[in-house]
Amino acid sequence: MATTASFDSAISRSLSLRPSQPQNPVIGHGDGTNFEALWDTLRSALREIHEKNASKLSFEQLYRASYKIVLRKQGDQLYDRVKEFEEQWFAAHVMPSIRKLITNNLVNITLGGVAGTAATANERRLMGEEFLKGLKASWEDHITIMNMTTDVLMYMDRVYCADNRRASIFTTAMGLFRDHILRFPLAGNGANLMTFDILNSVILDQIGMEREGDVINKHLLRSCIYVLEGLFETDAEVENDKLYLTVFEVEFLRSSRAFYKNECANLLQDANASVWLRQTKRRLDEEQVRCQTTVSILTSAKIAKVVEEELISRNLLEFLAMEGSGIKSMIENDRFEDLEALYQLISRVDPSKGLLKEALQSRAIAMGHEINKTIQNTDWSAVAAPAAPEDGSNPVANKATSKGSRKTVGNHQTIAAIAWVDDVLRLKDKFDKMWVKCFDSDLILQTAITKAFSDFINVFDRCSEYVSLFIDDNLKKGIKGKTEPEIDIVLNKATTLIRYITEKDLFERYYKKHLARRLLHGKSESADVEKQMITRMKMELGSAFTQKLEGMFKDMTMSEDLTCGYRNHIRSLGDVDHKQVELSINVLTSNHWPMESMGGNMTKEGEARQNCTWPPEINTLQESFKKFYLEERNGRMLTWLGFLGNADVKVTFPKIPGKEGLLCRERRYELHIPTYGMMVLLLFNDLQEGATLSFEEIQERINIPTQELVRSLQPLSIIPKCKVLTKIPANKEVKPGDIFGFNSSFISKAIRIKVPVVAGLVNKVEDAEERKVTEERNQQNRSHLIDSVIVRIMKARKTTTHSSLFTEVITQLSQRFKPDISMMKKRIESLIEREYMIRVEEATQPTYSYLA
Amino acid sequence: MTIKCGGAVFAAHKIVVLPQSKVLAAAFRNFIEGESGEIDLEEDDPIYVRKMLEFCYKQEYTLGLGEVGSALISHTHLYILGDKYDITPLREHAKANYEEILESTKTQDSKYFLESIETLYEFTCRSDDELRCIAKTVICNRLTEFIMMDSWRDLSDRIANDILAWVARRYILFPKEKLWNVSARNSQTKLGQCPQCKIENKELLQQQPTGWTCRECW
Repeated sequence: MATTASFDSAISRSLSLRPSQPQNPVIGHGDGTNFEALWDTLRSALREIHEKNASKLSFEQLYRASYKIVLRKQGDQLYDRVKEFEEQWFAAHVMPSIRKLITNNLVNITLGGVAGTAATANERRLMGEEFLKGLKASWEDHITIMNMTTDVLMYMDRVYCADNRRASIFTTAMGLFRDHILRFPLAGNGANLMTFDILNSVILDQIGMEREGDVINKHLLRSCIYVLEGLFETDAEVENDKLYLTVFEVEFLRSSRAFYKNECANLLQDANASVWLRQTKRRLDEEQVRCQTTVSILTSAKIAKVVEEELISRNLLEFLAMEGSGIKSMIENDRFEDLEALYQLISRVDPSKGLLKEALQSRAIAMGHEINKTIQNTDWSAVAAPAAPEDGSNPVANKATSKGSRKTVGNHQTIAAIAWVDDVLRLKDKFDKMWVKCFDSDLILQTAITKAFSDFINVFDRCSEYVSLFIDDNLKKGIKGKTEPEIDIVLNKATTLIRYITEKDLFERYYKKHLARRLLHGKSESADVEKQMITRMKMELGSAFTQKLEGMFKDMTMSEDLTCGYRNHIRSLGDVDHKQVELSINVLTSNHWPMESMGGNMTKEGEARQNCTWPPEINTLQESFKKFYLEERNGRMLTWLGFLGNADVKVTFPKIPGKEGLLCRERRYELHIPTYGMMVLLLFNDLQEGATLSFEEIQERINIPTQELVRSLQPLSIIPKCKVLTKIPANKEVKPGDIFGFNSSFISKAIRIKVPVVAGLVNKVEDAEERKVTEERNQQNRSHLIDSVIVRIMKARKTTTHSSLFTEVITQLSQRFKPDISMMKKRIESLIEREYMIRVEEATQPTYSYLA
Repeated sequence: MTIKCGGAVFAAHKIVVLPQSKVLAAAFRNFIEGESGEIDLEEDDPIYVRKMLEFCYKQEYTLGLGEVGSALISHTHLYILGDKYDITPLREHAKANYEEILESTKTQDSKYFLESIETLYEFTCRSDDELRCIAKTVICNRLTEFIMMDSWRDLSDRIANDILAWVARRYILFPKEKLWNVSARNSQTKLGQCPQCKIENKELLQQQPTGWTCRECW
């Protein structure tokens, strides 16, 4: 008591100092009855607030009341009373109205997923909407009410709740809604259902209706989802504990999975791949929209995953394999839209796109094999003309037909080669277009396609030759009249093909052969384009590859200079001899030029080519040039290659007395013939009129290979256009034993006659025998290469294991070709025999050591 | 908006006052005050309400001539208003003023000081102890002085007990703490190894005869 008294006196003292201050009723009245009075005020105010009459209340009074209670440390009582009030309010006013909306039908749907007997889909939807509307309204009321309540109890929230680490009254009230409304047990159905179960089932039912095509009230659904997003498992309100995530989303994903599983099964049974693609795409879009408009954006990745798993991944193989609509048919019929959709779907589920990759690859290979097979099986002599497609190979085909019956198997083969390249390029175009249009220029798929092409091209054993022929054809005639960009396209195509070829050495061999012919016979259309092609190859395959090819070009330019120089040299000598033969010469560095393949099959027959007997006129010329040439380049050896040259020969036919027309005049013709042909004709120069020479005589006098001689005589004695020689017997074939004479009664309308070059000098596909030779030569070349690579490696490493040696050899040679393992083994054996290296006996792994 | 208070009527701008006080803002949202545009703070002292409004406009308030002696009381009341209406800057401002006066107050002012303590205990909660701590620290520092005074005996038991606990804490349980805190405030500290206990990375304080030491070796 003493304390109270002194306290009062202290107050009165302070009051006496400040007489204006009103009596503060709080002071000195901190007892229990006062709390009840204050709470009564607050409780009736809360009731008013709940009945939406807040605007009639004085905030100041209510705030002051709660302020006082808290100052008196009765905050806990106040908190509990408010909570209790809220619980009672839910039980008495809110829940009953919601309970009314939960009809037996809704309960049945929730329990069994089947609507009650009388409920049509429409009725069901309306019933569900009623329930959702009720729930939504009570939630919105609750939020408004609790906002106001929180305002009134602000001091309690700020001071009492913070001090005692209690959740704010708002949070608690949200928890109450969760516990007393959503988790309100619905008695009398025997299944422990809660309002929450009904809510889930109604929302899912509505979404289900929408998936079937009905129109639903998305906005209403979204509002109810908001309720779940605003409520948490505990009053701690952890973000991941949203009721939406913990309860609804789980249910939603589960039911969606079931739905899509079922849909996928239906699609597999009734639809085709195209429908499937469209439906899946539509479903994915729909679900994204649903996440934005109906459920929560939080779910969008998860539901997309469900759709992806159920509609895409699970039965992808089956859909791809569908007869008539699967990937095979999409590719074959250029269904770009389908392919694009397919690519997008597969990219979603599998970043490595394994299945698509495999499918594409196997399709490309299958289509490639188809081309290979067609080319091999077609009888080109029968279909040469019609088979020639509209573009590149056309001139060839026309020419081939115009040649009439003289067409050889080789010519048909050439057409086949070009047709093959065209087909391959067309396939490549198709896949390229697909790749850009449908596959978003995907790198993984590009690799796959490239590999597939490389595979089937290399399976075709003539690919190197065919590609080289294709280039040959284009560089000869194909680019005539084409603009620069068009030429560029052709070159690009050629480069693409070269890239695919693994046996680059074989290709180089063919290219060299074909290039040599083009250069020496002046068949090349444009030196510029030739150079461009070389540059491209240099970029693609490296300079080692093109070194010799460039050497060939260099020889050609050097030779031009030489010819010119020689001409000047002769002129400067002053003795202008009219009988002098003009010389245009090509000096070829034997290293750079494919001598064997240029010389036909002479080497095979073992005949040295330089031992032919040159006519005296030519011999003089040769000596003169040799002298000129070796003046500056001492120590070189010149070999004359008669079979490669050409000559312009003026032939004079005397008038034949007693004949009329052209024959009665003297006729001069200029013949353009191969060097050998010229040599043959020169023999007839010195002959008595009417004298003849037999085949054997000719051969003996000029000493050239039989086959070459046949080739030289054939046009001169058989083709009417240039039949300057007579032949006995006068049949279509030149054979040893035939007898030839000067055809003095030859006439021609043209002054200049070009003697056609008989097969052998035109670039064409090799026949089986030639092919064998080329391959043998190539194998030989390879074995040398392998030898040198092995020796180089061994020299650097001194000792190395068998496996690492092999790996190294394969890596080093992969630019040129894929070395054959058994060949490598043989080369090692041979190197050991030749004592370049030895086996290390005591090593655990097979190891070799280099012998210096 | 109009603020009535014990006969006085103040006119103020909602746009100025409401953003500074969540409580007043809530009053003008949904309730009758929102409709009428006036609020009656019937139990607050118009003198201080006036200063509170002044603060809302100026971020400071001035004391009247008659209040100079009892400035501590005024600051205490404004501190309480700042708490009640949730105007944190006002609380801080009043607290700073209060502390400033205490640092220069002589013994003769101590009766206002004790009175302000009484008010403080009545109108704030235990958790809101910033101003209380300042007051209690002053009592600790001048304990003998206060105990001799008559008005000390008039202090309520509750407050006296609280102060006693504070004193005990300061002088018996954590004596070093207090000295350290006072010294640390007046001189510089640094981080490093304590030369006495050899523990690394301690906060060190310079002590005149012995040099640098950590809190434990003080």
